[in-house]
Amino acid sequence: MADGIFSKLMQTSRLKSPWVYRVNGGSCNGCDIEIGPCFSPRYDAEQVGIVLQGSPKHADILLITGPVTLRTRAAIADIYAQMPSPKAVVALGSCPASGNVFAGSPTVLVGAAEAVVPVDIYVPGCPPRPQAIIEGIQQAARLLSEGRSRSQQALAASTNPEVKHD
Amino acid sequence: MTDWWRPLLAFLIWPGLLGGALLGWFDLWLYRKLLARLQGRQGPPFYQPFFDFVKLLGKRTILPGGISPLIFYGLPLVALVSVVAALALLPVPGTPMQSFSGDLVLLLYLLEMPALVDIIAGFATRSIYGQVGSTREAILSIGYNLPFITALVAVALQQGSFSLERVAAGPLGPVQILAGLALLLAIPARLKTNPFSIANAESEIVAGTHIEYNARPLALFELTHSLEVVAMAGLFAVLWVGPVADTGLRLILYLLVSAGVVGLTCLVAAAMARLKVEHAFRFFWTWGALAAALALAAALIW
Amino acid sequence: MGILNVLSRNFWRRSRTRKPADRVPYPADFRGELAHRLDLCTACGTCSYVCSPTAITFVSEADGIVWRYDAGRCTFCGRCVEYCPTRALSFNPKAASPVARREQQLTNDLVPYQHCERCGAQLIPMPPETLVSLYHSPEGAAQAAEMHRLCDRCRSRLASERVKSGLKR
Repeated sequence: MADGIFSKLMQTSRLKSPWVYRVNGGSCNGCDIEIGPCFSPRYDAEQVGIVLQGSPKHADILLITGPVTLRTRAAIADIYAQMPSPKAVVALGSCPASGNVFAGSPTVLVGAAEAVVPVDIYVPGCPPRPQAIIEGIQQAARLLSEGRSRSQQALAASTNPEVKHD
Repeated sequence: MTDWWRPLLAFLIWPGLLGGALLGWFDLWLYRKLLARLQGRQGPPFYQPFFDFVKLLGKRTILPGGISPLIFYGLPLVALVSVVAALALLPVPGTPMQSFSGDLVLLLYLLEMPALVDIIAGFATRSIYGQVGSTREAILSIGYNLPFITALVAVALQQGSFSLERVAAGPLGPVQILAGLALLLAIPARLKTNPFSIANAESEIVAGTHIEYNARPLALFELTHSLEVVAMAGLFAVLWVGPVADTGLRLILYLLVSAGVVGLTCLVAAAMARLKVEHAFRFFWTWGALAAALALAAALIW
Repeated sequence: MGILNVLSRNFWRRSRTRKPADRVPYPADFRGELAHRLDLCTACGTCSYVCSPTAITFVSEADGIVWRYDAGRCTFCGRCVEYCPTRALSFNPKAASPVARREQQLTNDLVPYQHCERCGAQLIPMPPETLVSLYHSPEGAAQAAEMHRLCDRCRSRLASERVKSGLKR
């Protein structure tokens, strides 16, 4: 009984409090600029609990913009590893989904963001509108609360108690 | 011996952990909502700080390499216990705790602990951002402690006792007003809000001293911060509502005044930008020193 | 003290935030989701030729040509819409929604082959709507449609028959 109440509480809290960390994987900055208005008075993402954090260790959801280039690949993998689980990844725009116009370039990874981190939500657009960004983050928060994000499914499949990270 | 349950009740229920946490989450929500409204935004719903805390509890902690687990997990606990104990000592209306002589000094020591823990935590993480945050917090604490401690000492001097109950029960006079002003100068710095938010400057040094903390230790640090807000606002409020006789009325006034302090802090934070650490230090040792000197002079005269 | 005026104005007026569900109306020419009308597509390949990120490709199948569109690669520049000769492509005024899997962003539309009325060869005829806009009248379009249901070899045979038989068209 207490188990049920506590897990329900945890589900609700994951839905209501998605903390976000943004990383630029070599983008043109169009999508990054669209993240700014999400926190402005016009769209105010804070009213649904979204807070832009400065450290990946404080965040639940990773926002990736830009085609993941060879230079940023290691940084993005490192940042993803530094986020405590449960975590989700949102690919913002069409660049991290497919590379967009940069696909086929020798410095852009084949498979874009999916080659580096397991992506949960793709937000299409070039750049997506702020409402679409907020909707994408909310969908990722819903995945986290229902335990359906890819990191949570991977955790459920393994039996690792506590992660030691250097 | 018969009253051993009093401190325990004060520590755990009211005004300690449970009551303090609820009031702290309310104060945090009030701060964020008022800040949002002043900026023309909507702001979070009232349950937001509670769900933030619960969500942090549910994350798996990552222990950064090279940090001793004792320090990593122990520091937030030390900070939490000291601030809860400080809250338990406050002569809040309805507290079961009995005041004893010298508990003002104990309160000051206990309230200094969260800042000290932050400084140690920042140095213990091997991150350059944490170390810069710790250095700034240390310099700032030398600044804001001047008006903070002097104001409380002035009120104690006027009342002739270091017992919190005597200090709080004193009638409102020029000493209380001047000491209150000096306290108000120090409170934004203790709560790390603008213009004295240099210690956890977000975009500049990422997250300051808490940069390597995550999940449950971070949840404890966030809880400590909300309890610190209650303690600071409550410290100001007990000085001002102490003389009121009726306990129920005093409680209502206490809640109103502490919410007012939070609101005033928020207004100042919304209106001002961040001062650099040298400017903040200079501010506290000129204007803060002036306010402190005035309060002490008033205590000596009246 | 101007900041205090700004703060007081912000506080006493209603906040300027739009609720997440209260969407800003999309402008009339907003480049949202790409809509493809199969009845107008002739699989000419122009959209694929002009597509900047090669989000549109054509794949030959046994019974037709597949128009393949990847919304996760599209940059919504509008070149395909601008250059499509039959105006089969247009922009939905609503933006595409976030999806969980990459496969949900792929669209495969089969443009089926039809058969020449005379020889049965595979062809994709000109859509009737395009004929109407080309000939500026339904009657003219109906007369032209007879020609356009033939493959180009049969069309030139029919034209030479008509010339030889002296019939006015």
